[in-house]
Amino acid sequence: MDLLPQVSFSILFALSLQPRHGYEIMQQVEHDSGGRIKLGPGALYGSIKQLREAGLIEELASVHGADRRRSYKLSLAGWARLNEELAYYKTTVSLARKRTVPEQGV
Amino acid sequence: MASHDQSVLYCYQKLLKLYPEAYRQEYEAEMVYTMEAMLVDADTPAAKWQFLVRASRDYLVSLTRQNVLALEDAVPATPPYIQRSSKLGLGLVAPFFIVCTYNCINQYLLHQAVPYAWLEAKTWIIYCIVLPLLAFIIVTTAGTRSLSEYVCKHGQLSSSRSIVYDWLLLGVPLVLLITLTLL
Repeated sequence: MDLLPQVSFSILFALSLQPRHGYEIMQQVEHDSGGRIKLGPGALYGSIKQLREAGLIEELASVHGADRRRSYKLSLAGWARLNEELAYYKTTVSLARKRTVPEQGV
Repeated sequence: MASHDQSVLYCYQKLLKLYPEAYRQEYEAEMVYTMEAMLVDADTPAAKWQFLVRASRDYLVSLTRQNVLALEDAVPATPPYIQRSSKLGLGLVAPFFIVCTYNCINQYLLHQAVPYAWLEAKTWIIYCIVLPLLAFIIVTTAGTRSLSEYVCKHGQLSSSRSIVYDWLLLGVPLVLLITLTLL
């Protein structure tokens, strides 16, 4: 399994809480990454396009008449993929805990 | 929203026209909404400058990426027989280039005489004429087939037109040319 790019993974992770529209996804990604990942509209919608084409997210039917912004949610395939990625990271973290990481400058 | 924010948004909307058509149809409005929300959130002058730098970088990277992707989608996939024939053609002309390189090294770098065997008429004809011509036939036949398939697909020629006919059209004069050259 190839790992998803960081931005795509962050978008899936942000959508795991609840369906969101573009700007909310951006804010959640920034929050989840501790401010390290700051997306712009270009990067965000480029990744959303790829994720939609891969069938990992899907557009939510609009619920608010006045709000024309589109919301996205994880598809079943998206949930499965996110779980695979998280399992990989969990394994990596558990491996890292077993290893002695040398301190800087040693 | 302040007037300078509206100007930024107006410029952004205009700049979005440089994205590929299909992408714009799908995401243009969403991108403008998001940009508007980001502009409103950046409330201090410093935050606005940071936002502008970030948005410009994001725009340039994303614009390039989407246009390259659109270009890749627009180019039809190369049929497998074109790839095969290209490799075969390259293999057939390779001896010619190997011999040329070998001769150049011998003559200009090592200052040695070129081995006589390489220049014998029979050997010379094979790697300089027969093999490259064969490569030419194979590559152009595949090219003609691809072209004829494209033309048939787009309805400008009857689909009953045979590939064999194309091959004969191109192949017979070439075979004649080879025969004449060898004679």
